[in-house]
Amino acid sequence: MSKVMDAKVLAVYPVAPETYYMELAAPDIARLAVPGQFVHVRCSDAQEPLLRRPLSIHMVSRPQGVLALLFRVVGKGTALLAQRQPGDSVNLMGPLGRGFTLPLPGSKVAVAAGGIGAAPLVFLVQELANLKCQVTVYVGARDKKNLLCDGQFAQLDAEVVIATDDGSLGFKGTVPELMRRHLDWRRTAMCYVCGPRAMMQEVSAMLAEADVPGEVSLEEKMGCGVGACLSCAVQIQHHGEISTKRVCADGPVFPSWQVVWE
Amino acid sequence: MKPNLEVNIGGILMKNPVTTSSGTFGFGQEYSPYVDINKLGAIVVKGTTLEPRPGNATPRMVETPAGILNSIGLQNPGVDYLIDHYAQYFAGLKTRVIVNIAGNTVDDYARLAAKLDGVPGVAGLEVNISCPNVKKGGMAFGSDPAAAAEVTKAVKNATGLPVIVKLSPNVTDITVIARAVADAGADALSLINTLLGMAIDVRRRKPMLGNIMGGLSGPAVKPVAVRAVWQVYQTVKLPIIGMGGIVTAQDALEFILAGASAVAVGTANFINATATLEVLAGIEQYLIEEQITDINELVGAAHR
Ligand SMILES: Cc1cc2nc3c(=O)[nH]c(=O)nc-3n(C[C@H](O)[C@H](O)[C@H](O)COP(=O)(O)OP(=O)(O)OC[C@H]3O[C@@H](n4cnc5c(N)ncnc54)[C@H](O)[C@@H]3O)c2cc1C
Ligand SMILES: Cc1cc2nc3c(=O)[nH]c(=O)nc-3n(C[C@H](O)[C@H](O)[C@H](O)COP(=O)(O)O)c2cc1C
Ligand code: FES
Repeated sequence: MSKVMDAKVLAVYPVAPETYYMELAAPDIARLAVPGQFVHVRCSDAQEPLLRRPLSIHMVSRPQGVLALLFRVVGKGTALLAQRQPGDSVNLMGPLGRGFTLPLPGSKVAVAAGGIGAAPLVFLVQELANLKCQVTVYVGARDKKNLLCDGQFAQLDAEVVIATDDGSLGFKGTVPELMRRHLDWRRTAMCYVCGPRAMMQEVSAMLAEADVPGEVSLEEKMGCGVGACLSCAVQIQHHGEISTKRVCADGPVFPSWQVVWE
Repeated sequence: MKPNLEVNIGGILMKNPVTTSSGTFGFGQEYSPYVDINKLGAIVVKGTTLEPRPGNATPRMVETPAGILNSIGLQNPGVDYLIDHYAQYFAGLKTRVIVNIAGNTVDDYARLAAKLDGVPGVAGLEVNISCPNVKKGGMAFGSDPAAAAEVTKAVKNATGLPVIVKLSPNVTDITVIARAVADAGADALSLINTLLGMAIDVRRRKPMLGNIMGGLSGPAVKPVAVRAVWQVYQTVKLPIIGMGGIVTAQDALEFILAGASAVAVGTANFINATATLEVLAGIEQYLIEEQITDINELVGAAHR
């Protein structure tokens, strides 16, 4: 069951331009969370910014009761969050949403991470490592400086293949382009994707073509985070019927072939 | 001594004056991990229409200073689904459940009222004639006194349930609509619904909401809402459920002093999932401190 709590900041520091890593003492959330879930964070005690901000669970350490977030500063809320100091507390609600479906132990899986979309995938690759899966992670970023989590993926024994838009590291081009060249679809049991919408759409199309099951983690503006306000609507297709689902409560993870992208 | 918190909203007996505003609390279940909803006086559930509705394009919510704009567009699974899937759950709750209804035509409202009449667990209807997010119906009924009266009459004729009419602040004189609805037989009034507004992204040079305009709610609207309750209390004798920007017990007490017999917590739930229970505890605390034995003594006290 999800909780609301004040969690103490243990560490916070920048890891890339405008990108922060934050560690929080949140044993209840760390214990309950599964990869792909998120927390709903109050960035200020004042009435501005008013709403909470959804942030994926980046990593957990269950024995230590620690939860880690990785976030990019894009506006007021994330800017305020980045200013927190160790010892401050942050009000959290979570874990929320439905996470990734884990594959059979030992499966060969592909993971595609675009930009800040790498955040939830580290927790996922942690679990995949526990399941002794053979993991290849395709990590993409604008340039070398903005590349995230490649070292963490490698430490978790995943094969890491890099793409940058400007070619400053690895393949010059996008993650979908890289996957098209590199991936042997016939030997892939499952593919997990988180990144910009266009990238997720493109990878989903490739998956459909190759008939490989996949899951994507979607983003939508949120109000409540618990399924009550219907802000975070997304069109989902199931057995030929399109229905409106809630990213916060029915997702954020959805089967790639069910998402109506247009 | 424990003060009396029981209030009567047009025939709906509530054990205390705290309820939720429609569209901000789902069907109750969404918040039950955080709130013992049986402790609330009532819950008002998401707006229901005859047919299922998919709602508006995204983004459907943006933040504004101390408020939010939403353009959900009455997404809901339709009244038949509500009856089949939720009535049993409602009947098992130890709180009153009020169903908020909306239609495109007067006949829609009457048919909704008829369908919900006698459904176990449904204690009353809140008639939404004030939604700014739908093309047909909604606010169009709420801004014309004759149309508002017609909808009210049709609903009253179709059901034996208590009928609460929810008014729009997007009118020149809310008391005119209140009087028309009262004369047409409403049992109580809810005020206010959201204020029509919009926001523009200066970088993209485009409106922020998928539907361009939306309804403003949250702390930013509270002074407008308190004013509406104050004016309507002076105009008609009906019980009022006050809402609009209630975050704390202090906020709720302002509405009660202005003339509301009950209060609804809306947007605040998103920020603080236990806001309803905190508002309730704070009201009770205030009554004890002020040595008031019955909440009803406080209703409209600022007028005296
Ligand atoms: C399930 C989920 C998980 C996410 N995980 C991460 C993560 O791990 N790391 C990370 O950096 N970002 C993540 N995001 C995006 C993050 O929520 C937004 O960047 C953040 O809310 C922006 O807030 P702000 O106040 O800085 O920006 P502002 O632009 O000032 O925000 C204005 C409003 O828009 C909302 N908003 C803006 N962008 C987004 C967005 N992309 N998704 C949802 N709401 C948005 C905000 O919540 C706020 O209500 C996630 C989004 C979702 C839906
Ligand atoms: C996301 C959202 C959805 C809403 N949906 C409805 C609705 O379906 N029917 C209705 O009568 N009012 C609806 N409202 C209006 C609220 O019930 C309430 O009147 C308004 O938000 C003011 O209260 P608040 O400031 O406490 O939120 C909605 C408001 C929000 C924020
Ligand atoms: S954010 Fe409220 S339903 Fe998803």
